[in-house]
Amino acid sequence: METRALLKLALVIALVSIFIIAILADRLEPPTRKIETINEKNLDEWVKIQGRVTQQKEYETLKIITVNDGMASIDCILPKEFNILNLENNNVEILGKVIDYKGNFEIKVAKIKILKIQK
Amino acid sequence: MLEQILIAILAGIVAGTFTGLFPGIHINLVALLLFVFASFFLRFTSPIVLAVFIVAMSITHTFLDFIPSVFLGAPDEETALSVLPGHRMLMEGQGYGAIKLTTIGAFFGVLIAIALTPFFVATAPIFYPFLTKIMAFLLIAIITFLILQEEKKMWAFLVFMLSGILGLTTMNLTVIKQSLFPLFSGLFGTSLLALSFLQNVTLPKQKIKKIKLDKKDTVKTLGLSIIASSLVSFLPGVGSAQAATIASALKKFNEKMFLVLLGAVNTITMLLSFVALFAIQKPRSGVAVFAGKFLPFLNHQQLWLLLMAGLFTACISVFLSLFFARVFSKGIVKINYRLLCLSIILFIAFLSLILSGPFSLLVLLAGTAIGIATSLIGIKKIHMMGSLLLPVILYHLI
Repeated sequence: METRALLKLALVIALVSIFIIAILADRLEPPTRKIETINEKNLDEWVKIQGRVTQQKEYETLKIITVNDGMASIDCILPKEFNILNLENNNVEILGKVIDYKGNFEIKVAKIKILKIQK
Repeated sequence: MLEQILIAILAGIVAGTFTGLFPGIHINLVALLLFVFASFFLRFTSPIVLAVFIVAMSITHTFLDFIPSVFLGAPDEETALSVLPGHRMLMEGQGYGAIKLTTIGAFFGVLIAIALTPFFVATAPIFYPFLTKIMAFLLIAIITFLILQEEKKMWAFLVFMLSGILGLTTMNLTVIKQSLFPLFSGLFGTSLLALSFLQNVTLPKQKIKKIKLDKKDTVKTLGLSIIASSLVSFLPGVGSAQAATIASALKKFNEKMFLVLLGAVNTITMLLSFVALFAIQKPRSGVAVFAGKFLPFLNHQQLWLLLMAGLFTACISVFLSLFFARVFSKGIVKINYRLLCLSIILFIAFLSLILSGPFSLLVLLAGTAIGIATSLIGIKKIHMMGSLLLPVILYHLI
């Protein structure tokens, strides 16, 4: 194939693929899983969990919420950009990456959805 | 204990040989597997032994991964100008010579890293907090400098942005695992292989001959490798190729010296990434992350044990590197090069599917297309590190 034609084809494929990846990134999410199934194999992986916030701790640059799904619980780290008030006793859905902090697995939250607001 | 350490070094050398010679298999992957099965291994041994394994594997890998980089994915004459000096030497029948040069650099790199360690330990805690504050601006300055070095500046900027957007979207694609695998394999691996396949490259007969190096030039190059590797050691997303390009702008190198520099920067950075665990309590490479998990409170004695394990490994890796370079030099012209490139592309696609899931193939395709375009435009491949640098800059700015 001629160099110019190959270059054009490569650029078109790159642009179209990036466009499709961007759409998929916006629309696709991993399936919801049980907290107890999260282990070292999932380090740095995206996971989605649902559960009740049993505890909330505030720090200068972040919030840590403990989410329990009835079987197990996990600490979820919310960066300071998340402008959420008290989540305690609310049911939430969390999408984030599994990280290891001093031997414990935690979720670094990318998205949080409140499923049911406790009155 | 000594026996266990020696076994760990030998096992690390075997693993590093495997990861170094097989395109697509990265040391981070083996380190992750070791971490997953750590509870099993820790029944028989101690965390320091597992960390020694990681160091030995990493050092062997840095020596040997130049072999597939030089011998596979060779360009045709039209695109040869944009490729690394290693590929140019391969097309002149000097693939073995190219590996010999990176091996010389890599070995001296280990010695330099060990000599630098006391200085690094003393200064890194002072410099690092300051650097993190100006990280984004420093990275922007480096990127601007690298783009301005190119004749086709607009294309270089476009490739940087395109790779950056691909990096950003890929990192937000939550349905794939190990997202960097398909991203980097596409940009820097399959793109070169696909181009070799499409352009029907035939390799000349490889000569195995002595290489003469100017002692003064070599010493100056190794000296500059210290500046180049300190850039890589502190700045996320800046790889040895960028650092070597910046160093080559400070002093004009010939092809041979560039390869010596590349080899040295690679190993200095790798060893210092373990030293950083002690100096700033932060891992500066993927494998150092796992070594840090085994040794969260790395002490002075453990650090020097890791460095000595690295030195011992380097001595063996010199012979391994030259041995496999000889094997590749003799074997590469006897096999069907197009078929070899195609087989490796399919192998990487298969690995991507298994490790990262079906959607990763789309990332692999996009990366391959950008890599092919970069080679055809005739600019350096370092601009594709935008895939990592753009997300890092945005993270520090926002």
